[in-house]
Amino acid sequence: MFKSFSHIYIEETVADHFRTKEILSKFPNAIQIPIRHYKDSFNRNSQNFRIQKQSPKLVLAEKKEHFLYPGSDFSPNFSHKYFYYNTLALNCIYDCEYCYLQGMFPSANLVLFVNWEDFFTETKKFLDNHGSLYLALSYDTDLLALESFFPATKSWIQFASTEPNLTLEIRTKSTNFQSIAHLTPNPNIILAWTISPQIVIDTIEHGTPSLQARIKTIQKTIEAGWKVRVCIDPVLRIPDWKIHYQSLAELLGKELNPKGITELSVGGFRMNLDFLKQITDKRKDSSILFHPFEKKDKIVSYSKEETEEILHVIIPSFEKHFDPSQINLSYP
Amino acid sequence: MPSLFFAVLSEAKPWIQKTKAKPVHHSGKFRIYKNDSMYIIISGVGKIAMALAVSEFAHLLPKEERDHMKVWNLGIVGSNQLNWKVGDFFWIHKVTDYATGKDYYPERMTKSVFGMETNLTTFDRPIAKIKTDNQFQVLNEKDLESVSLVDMEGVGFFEAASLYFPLENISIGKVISDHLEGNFCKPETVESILANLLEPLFLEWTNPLPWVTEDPFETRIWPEIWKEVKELRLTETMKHDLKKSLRFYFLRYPNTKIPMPNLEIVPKIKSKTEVKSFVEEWKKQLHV
Ligand code: SF4
Repeated sequence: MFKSFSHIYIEETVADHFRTKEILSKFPNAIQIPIRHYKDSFNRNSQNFRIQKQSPKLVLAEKKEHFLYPGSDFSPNFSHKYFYYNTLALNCIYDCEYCYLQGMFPSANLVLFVNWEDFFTETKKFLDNHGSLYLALSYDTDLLALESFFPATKSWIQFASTEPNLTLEIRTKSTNFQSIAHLTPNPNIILAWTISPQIVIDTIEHGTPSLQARIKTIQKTIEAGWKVRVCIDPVLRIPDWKIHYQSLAELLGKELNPKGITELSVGGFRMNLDFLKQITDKRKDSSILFHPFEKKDKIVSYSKEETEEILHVIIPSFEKHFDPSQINLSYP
Repeated sequence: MPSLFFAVLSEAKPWIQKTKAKPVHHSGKFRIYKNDSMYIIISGVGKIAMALAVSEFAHLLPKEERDHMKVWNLGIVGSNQLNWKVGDFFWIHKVTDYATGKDYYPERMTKSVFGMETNLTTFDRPIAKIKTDNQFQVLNEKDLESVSLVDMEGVGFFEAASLYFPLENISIGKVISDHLEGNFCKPETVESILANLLEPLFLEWTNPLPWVTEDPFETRIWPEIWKEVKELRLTETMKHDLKKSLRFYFLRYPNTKIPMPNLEIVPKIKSKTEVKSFVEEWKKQLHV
């Protein structure tokens, strides 16, 4: 998807950080720009997310506060009392048309926080105070997709091996499993792949790995003994969506060992209304965003009937291959 | 249509000659030159003059035009780096206002044949390394450490331009005219330094912004449809929703003709209820 970064902005406080140097060494041709605070560049007015996405820049920064955020209502908490997420990175190297980040951030540039140790310390403190934590690690980004120059997933898996009360969810579309394949599988870590029909990948999830590549990676992960969640989320009502999602169910049933899947999580498209407004203001080329959505409590989603129809089609298709107890709705 | 800001006439002269741009008569204070396809603006010296020129110029244009406009500032600068030569050209990726300490980040979005980039510091007075008769502001060793190129307009240009133009459309390019020796450059020298860069820069300046592309729905399809149904006197919300539904259909079925209702009945529709049901029926056909 990306070849390199033409420019790298570096916060002065992390200019000498060992991790900054490691990352910079991967991009020897990038122009380096010292910066006082990442927000001075990232939060500027009148940036155009779509234009920046054509040539995203890298920003290396220090996270000074908010090492844990309470999980959003849009995301399933998988029945955990303490559901939080952290943001080791902001933005993603992929470009999915339905991605809420386009509406949430003023800039498409990729911010990487290099002070992971502070995240570890705060997470440990939380565990000491509350006893348990379900932490979504790859929020506001696709962390595993960055592993070749920002190996945070590996470090967090290692950290989790020392914290038995920490459950991690690492969600991705990448096929970078080989970069963590040498680590010991941990039952408290869920590696979650978002899967879509190939036509969605081709036309909507720009720059992401193919369906076959994702399936192959999932199968390898299962064989290596990891807990795997497969997310059919968001389900999109594209033309002939029923046929595409039914074939997807067939394909997954055929190519994956159903017993190896901890869970199949299913959910239709939904988004914060303000984000959608922001996105459609700048992106007028994506039919899925102009769907006549239903609005409720500042959330847009498919209508009740459309959602019921989605579930009516998807659930039985997957139940042919997977146990009903494996299938969960990611959003009511 | 691109626009180009200079501080003084000697910087702009080669460009005015090349483009055969003619002065525009307007009520404002700044000189604006124009031909069929571009603007050249001369602000006068200093960040305030530059900021005012940008703002005055922006107010002459509708927002749609500004959104599609490439807007550049070119000019001469002093260099603190002895290894850079007079005539070397740099794109600027960071501008600092020396007076306030504030930094700004013009982001480079497109490739250029000029590969060098650096930061620029804008001062309120001319700068020298040593004291001369010219009353330049003399910088001490410590201040000089963080300074690469110096000028008197960059920050005023960027701060004002970013209020009126999309950030991605704005660029600052500077060419070295001296090494802070404390002398004013002669106009002929400035002119010839700028003239030397003219051809390659002109090519880049006149290249259209790659992200400004036509949206056929906005420019062609919607105006045609709107012409047909204008007399329905839709409320703004109804108009917005209908437009959204039409765009949905257009994007989803790009090779199919957009379904249209029976337009002959439009003149007969009078009541609000009739308008509403007419639009609702139409939208149903679009939401498939
Ligand atoms: S992979 Fe996820 S985070 Fe990345 S662009 Fe797609 S939806 Fe957004």
